[in-house]
Amino acid sequence: MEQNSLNPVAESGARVRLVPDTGENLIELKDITFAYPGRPAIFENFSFAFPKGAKAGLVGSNGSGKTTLLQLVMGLIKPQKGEIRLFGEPTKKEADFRKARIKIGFVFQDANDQLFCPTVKDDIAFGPLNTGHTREEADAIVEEVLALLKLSDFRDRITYALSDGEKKLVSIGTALAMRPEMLILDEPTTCLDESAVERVVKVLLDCGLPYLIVAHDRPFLDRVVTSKYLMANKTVTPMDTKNAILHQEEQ
Amino acid sequence: MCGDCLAHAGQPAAIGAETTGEPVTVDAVAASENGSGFLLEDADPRARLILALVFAFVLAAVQSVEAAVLGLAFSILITMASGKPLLALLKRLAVVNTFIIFMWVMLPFSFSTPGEIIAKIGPLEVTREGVILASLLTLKANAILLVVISLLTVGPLHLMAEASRALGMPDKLVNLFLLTTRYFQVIFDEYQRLRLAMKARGFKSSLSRHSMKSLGSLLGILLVRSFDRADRIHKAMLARGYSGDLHVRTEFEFKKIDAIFALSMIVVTIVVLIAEWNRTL
Repeated sequence: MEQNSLNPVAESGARVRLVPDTGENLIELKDITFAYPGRPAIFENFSFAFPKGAKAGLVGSNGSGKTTLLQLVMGLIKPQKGEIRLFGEPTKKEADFRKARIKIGFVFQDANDQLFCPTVKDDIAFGPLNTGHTREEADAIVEEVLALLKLSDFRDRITYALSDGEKKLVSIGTALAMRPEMLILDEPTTCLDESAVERVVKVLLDCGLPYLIVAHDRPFLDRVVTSKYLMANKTVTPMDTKNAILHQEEQ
Repeated sequence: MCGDCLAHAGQPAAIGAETTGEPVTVDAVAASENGSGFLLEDADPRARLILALVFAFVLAAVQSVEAAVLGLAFSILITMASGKPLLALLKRLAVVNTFIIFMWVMLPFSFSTPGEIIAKIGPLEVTREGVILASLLTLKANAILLVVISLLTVGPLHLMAEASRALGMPDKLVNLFLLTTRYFQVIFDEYQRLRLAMKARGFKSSLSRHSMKSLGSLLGILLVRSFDRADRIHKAMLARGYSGDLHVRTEFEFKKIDAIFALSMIVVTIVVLIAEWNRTL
């Protein structure tokens, strides 16, 4: 298991590589050690790489460290040891992360955590305004994102009064509004009914961005990713994927 | 996190039954709290805020029963124009009037020194001044409450925060208010889910030691969860490049209808003031 994870069989195309391959990876974690204060280490000499163009899923049991991994990548928590490279650049200080973070559209598990503004429009405009867009540009981005999500009527809706499905779509919208180079989604389908899941699937397949999705929902993952990885025993190992749709499209 | 599913299980999925991604038509959620879209809700929130405060201050200051009666009459008219549901309104009034009942128990009997005695109940003397003061308090309290409810709590709450920002309230306070309005419901939902889960296991609140301990734990877990949530919200904001500005700005426009509203409120306020100056009681 351990051996296997360090030397995975090189697969063609966009697959997560566990041995970092500088220059081609959007995300690289090398020899990361991390523990929450006063708790045993979650990662010890952990390595992970996410190549350009990949559409990958990450599965693993509760508490295996999936969310921790995502937060490390975003620099929201800092490792005790190890190196993180984002978009080919080493990221060490908060300033480095701030620069890299805005290129990653991060969708949190609970949409209530992501949507804090009074209205949908305010929330989608928040990211672009942070990255220095003018209000007019931000408004244009809001329209564009809402059109993409087919939610143009939702501009002035109050965020807390949305349904769970609507909240999730809008939170994906807030990430897309950053004009990111990739998306990271943490459990995007929890609490969603079938039709809401359908719309999330459609948005993901249409967005044209590489993404890393953490999910327990295997049928959902099978529809949107080309490769799947299992997180267990503090390591990530590739899983066999039988993805019909996307593999066919690639060929 | 999956506790969230529980709370929404009963709600219809508003995302639209069709999976084709047709835009879902939305009914005015802006009016989520108060039924239909009445005139007052559309009035400029800045005007509503200032004029409600001025009118409330004038009402608080008047000393005559005539002015207070007039004030209450105007408040009732304003309330009718706000389209607030009657039942919810009465419930709120009931809370305040419970306190006022105590005034009626005390005040009529408390003016013994120079008062004009109009009735006697056993050894207790009811004075004219005491009754007038109690009536004045009742009239003023209800009038102020009505005007505040109907001018400040119609329409989306966040507009009131934005209006106070437009009128010079510091950004930090406004942002605090905005986040409070956003997360109050979320935390309250969490509380109700926890209470429901307790009830499902046979919990009934009483004054027993067990009950107090359980309610204490409930409050504790609510605090801890809110703290965790605050942390996650902050992280989500950082992930989108947050650097100290919420960028929530609502542009207000003072329209003709707002001028009409403002003018009527000013007239009403002046009429109450005139009644106060020409008082007899």
